[in-house]
Amino acid sequence: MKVKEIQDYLNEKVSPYAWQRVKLRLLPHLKKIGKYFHTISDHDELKEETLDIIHCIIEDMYNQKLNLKEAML
Amino acid sequence: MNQTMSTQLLRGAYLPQRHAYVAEQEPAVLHCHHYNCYLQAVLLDTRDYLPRVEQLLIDSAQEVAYAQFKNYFDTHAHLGELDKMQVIEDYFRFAGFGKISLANTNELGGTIESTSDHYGLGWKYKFGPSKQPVSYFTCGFLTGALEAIHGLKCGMLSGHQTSCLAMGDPFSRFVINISPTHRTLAPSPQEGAYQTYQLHPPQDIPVDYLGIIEALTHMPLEGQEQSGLIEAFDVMLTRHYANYYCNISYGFLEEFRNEVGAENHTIAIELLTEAGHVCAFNTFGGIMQSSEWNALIRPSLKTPEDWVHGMVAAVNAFGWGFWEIVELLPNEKLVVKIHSGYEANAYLKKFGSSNVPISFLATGGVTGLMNLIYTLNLPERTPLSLDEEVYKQIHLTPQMFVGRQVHCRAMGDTYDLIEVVKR
Repeated sequence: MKVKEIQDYLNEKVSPYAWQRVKLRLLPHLKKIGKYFHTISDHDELKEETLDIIHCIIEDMYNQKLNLKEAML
Repeated sequence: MNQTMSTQLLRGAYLPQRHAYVAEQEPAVLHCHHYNCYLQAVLLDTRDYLPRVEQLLIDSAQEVAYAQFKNYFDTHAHLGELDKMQVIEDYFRFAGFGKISLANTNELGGTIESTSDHYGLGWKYKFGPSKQPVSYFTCGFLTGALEAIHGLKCGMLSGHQTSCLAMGDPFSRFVINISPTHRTLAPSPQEGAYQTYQLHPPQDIPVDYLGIIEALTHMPLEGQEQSGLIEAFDVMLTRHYANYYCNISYGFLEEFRNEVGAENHTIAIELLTEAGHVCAFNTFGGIMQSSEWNALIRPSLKTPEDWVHGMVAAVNAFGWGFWEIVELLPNEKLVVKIHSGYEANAYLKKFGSSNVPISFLATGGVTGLMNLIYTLNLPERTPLSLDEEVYKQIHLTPQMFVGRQVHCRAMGDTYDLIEVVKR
């Protein structure tokens, strides 16, 4: 899934600025995969491992369980 | 409350020449639980890689409470220990922070339990249950207050929270002890680099700026006797410490830049500004639908632009400085000039100059006002429940308003200037 798809989905369905808050929490993981706030682009593809972490963050942050892949269909 | 206590209350008079509430050299500003909790949540989002951020929240509260109560007790030297405890319990309630009792404390610390704590309850109302304690402010406040009572240096005690209303516990519990390590906390910037100014209310509109300010600054906004909470305008209000917000916001930003690099700070600034937008949506929206607004202000408002003016007039009673509209183009643009904004006051005193604009709350606040009036069309839709779904509607509008700070006192300008246009 592309960054832009996730960003739009979270900001529309979960909460405005949800993606920015997720990204803030995601930083340690982003660094592990060689990304940074200013190097991550809308067209970057996020792998399963990253999506799993995003799920956990959303659940912790908003008490919501999401399945991003299903939600995109 | 006995007769002796009635002469010993700490409050904080509204100073018209500064548009500020100042209680023993600590400026107080009105803010709601939405802002308090959202701002804290953003900072906590970084705790995995900014491990000091939680302590920053506690220490910032400890610094301001200590400074305020030390000043007060220095000038009221006749007060005994129990009197001092009462002053603090009373101020905590007055400011809307909740209810506490310091009965089980002494110069070595102690344990304090609260069944009504603004942060614990506010967090649960806004975000739902938390997995961790969230009342960092209360913890720091209590720690600093105990140090002031017992004439200790700031940093000699340290506190932590062991249970929390936000987690579903029946009370929030705070344990305060002698600090195991030598800590020196920073002094509060106190009144900051404030400005005196004379507001220039516009003459050609049906909004009575001075009447609105007069009415709001005399409203009995203080915590209820039982709960210690200020429930007004559909939010939980606080008379919070301006310096607390500035310590945590700018302290966080400094740590964030050190960790991730200045080139990456945009995301943090966006979220600090969004906290101001959240604040405007809830507090401004609540005020503009309140019975007081409907009775006193709304009858004279004829156009959406009058509503913008009415709300800007009201902001002048929040302790946020002098807000004046420089330009208002209907459904197109708003420019607001701010003298003695509390963000710049504190920043200039504590951090000096900045090479980027720092009035995040003001930028988000002015933007939120335009989105309430025009994007959401609140004047036509009130009464409207301002919930998360309505908030999303604003952000899903392609032409919602966005703001930027054009002038900033912390960058050398004589006032702050916020410009809001459609994106």
